[in-house]
Amino acid sequence: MKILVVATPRDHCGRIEELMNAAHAAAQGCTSEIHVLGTGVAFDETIAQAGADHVYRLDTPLSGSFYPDAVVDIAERACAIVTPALLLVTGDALGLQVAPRLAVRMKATYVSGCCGFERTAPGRLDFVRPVYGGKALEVVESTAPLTVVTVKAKSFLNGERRPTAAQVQTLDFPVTAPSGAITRVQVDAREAHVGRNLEDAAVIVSGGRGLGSAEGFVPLHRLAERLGGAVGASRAAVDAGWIAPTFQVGQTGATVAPDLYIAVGISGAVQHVAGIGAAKHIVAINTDEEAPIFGVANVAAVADYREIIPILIDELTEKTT
Amino acid sequence: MHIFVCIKQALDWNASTKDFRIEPTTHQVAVSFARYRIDQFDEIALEVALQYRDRQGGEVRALTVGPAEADDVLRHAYAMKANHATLVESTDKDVSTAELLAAGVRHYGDGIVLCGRTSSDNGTGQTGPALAEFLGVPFVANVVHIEGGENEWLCRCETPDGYEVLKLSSPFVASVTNADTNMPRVPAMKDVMLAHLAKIETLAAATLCPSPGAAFAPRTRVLRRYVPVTSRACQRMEGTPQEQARALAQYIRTVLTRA
Repeated sequence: MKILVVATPRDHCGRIEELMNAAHAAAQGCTSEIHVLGTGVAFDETIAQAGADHVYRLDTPLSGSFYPDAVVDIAERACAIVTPALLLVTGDALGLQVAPRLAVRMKATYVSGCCGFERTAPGRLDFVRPVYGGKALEVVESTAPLTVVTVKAKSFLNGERRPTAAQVQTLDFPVTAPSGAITRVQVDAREAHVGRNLEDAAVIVSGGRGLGSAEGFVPLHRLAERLGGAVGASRAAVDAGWIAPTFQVGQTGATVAPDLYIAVGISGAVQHVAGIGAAKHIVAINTDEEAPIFGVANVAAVADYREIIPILIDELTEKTT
Repeated sequence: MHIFVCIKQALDWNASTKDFRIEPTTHQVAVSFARYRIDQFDEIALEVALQYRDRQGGEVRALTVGPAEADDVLRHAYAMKANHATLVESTDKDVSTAELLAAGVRHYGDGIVLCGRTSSDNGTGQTGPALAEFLGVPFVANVVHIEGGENEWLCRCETPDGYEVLKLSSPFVASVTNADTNMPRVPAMKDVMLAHLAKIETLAAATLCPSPGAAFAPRTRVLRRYVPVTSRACQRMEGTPQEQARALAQYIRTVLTRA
């Protein structure tokens, strides 16, 4: 089976490793060739060490054109060269808009947010993905020669990859935005620095509707600072205007995999829980004894955060200094 | 000037999720649980379109694909004061929704098309980008606000770094996401009543002939759905807030030392 991994300009090394883990998981138990196309960035070394057979570099920078259009265009051309049975892209904001378009163009099926593969018979590959906001999983089969897949973040953190000696080949496609019609007239990265590290944070202190106000985030920031972590928020808190959308964790925000996730005043709506499933340890603080968040937490305190968090900060300060 | 908004019915997550269950035979959500309403992001897409119309004019047409009973979401669109509503009537599970929507949009001619960025049931987020390809027009993602018109539309889009404004000309397809500026309006009771009497246009899928000359786009097939077993056993802290905080601190230290 030929697999084409498309690394986009937004994929950093960690994401490429996840993609490669996914490719190797899909290839398990059958003879395979793993091809990697790097669009816009050169991660050749990471890719080569991650077990690719062929690496295609594209040295033309994509910065001058509208990314998504260019990525769809380049991936389409690469498909013509590789003729893969499976195409993998990271399931981030860019991948999620690029992959379905590519699938339509290539008359392929599309599997969104794949978190696992199933091989029930030789030569057969089925796809596992979350549905209903992560409340359930579904197993789907493809009905086309090519399946375009977006890989759910943090689903393939570990994996066995066979060592390979990758052949590196430079492609010189002309990079033009095919629509040519979209121009970026303003970039407002005002909130860029905040919440950006959420996906890589080891500790996240997150707040929800139960905080009651924007001021409720103040002790959370202090606790996060104490633990060297980041602050996150549920959609309810973002919708209430208490905190910027870049802080949002959950199905429609960041998918996170910290060592420790502290959910404060978060009821645990399915969409939120979908984004924190990969957290190693979850602590919930909520006044509502019945809050669904307690169903996914390791430890819980039924308490008012205003009361308990300052004491918690003191306790953590005393014992660590 | 037409703004099309593609909407669908989805599970209402504000209803209790305690009894969530998948029927083992149908692979659908148990009927006893299911309560449906307009999908959350589709409703936000409608709001974005209506805000534009209220400011700058034009007409908003809500479009949905489904059986004849699927008109509930369209009545909701009328209650929010959309100008028109169209049902593309189809029960054929082998034809992609995006293909049928594309045929529906073509039936009325060009315009801009908005849809929610992803649904709360299947959650594939493919309808917008796929629709753009079927229509052969540009696609912009995660839009929170639109302005301008004709050859100079400005879309404010959420990006992983914040926001950006993209300029493009009509026609195009945009997926819409939430922001504090586009919380869906709550329909007035009078408009809800009037929506029940409003006329819904119906287009039969068969007459629309999607993708002329081409076979239907292939789709994945669901083999099974299930609720995964989660094994986290929640340990509840006891005692005074002081004692609970101390126990939590102990737990946090242990976890972080191990990690």
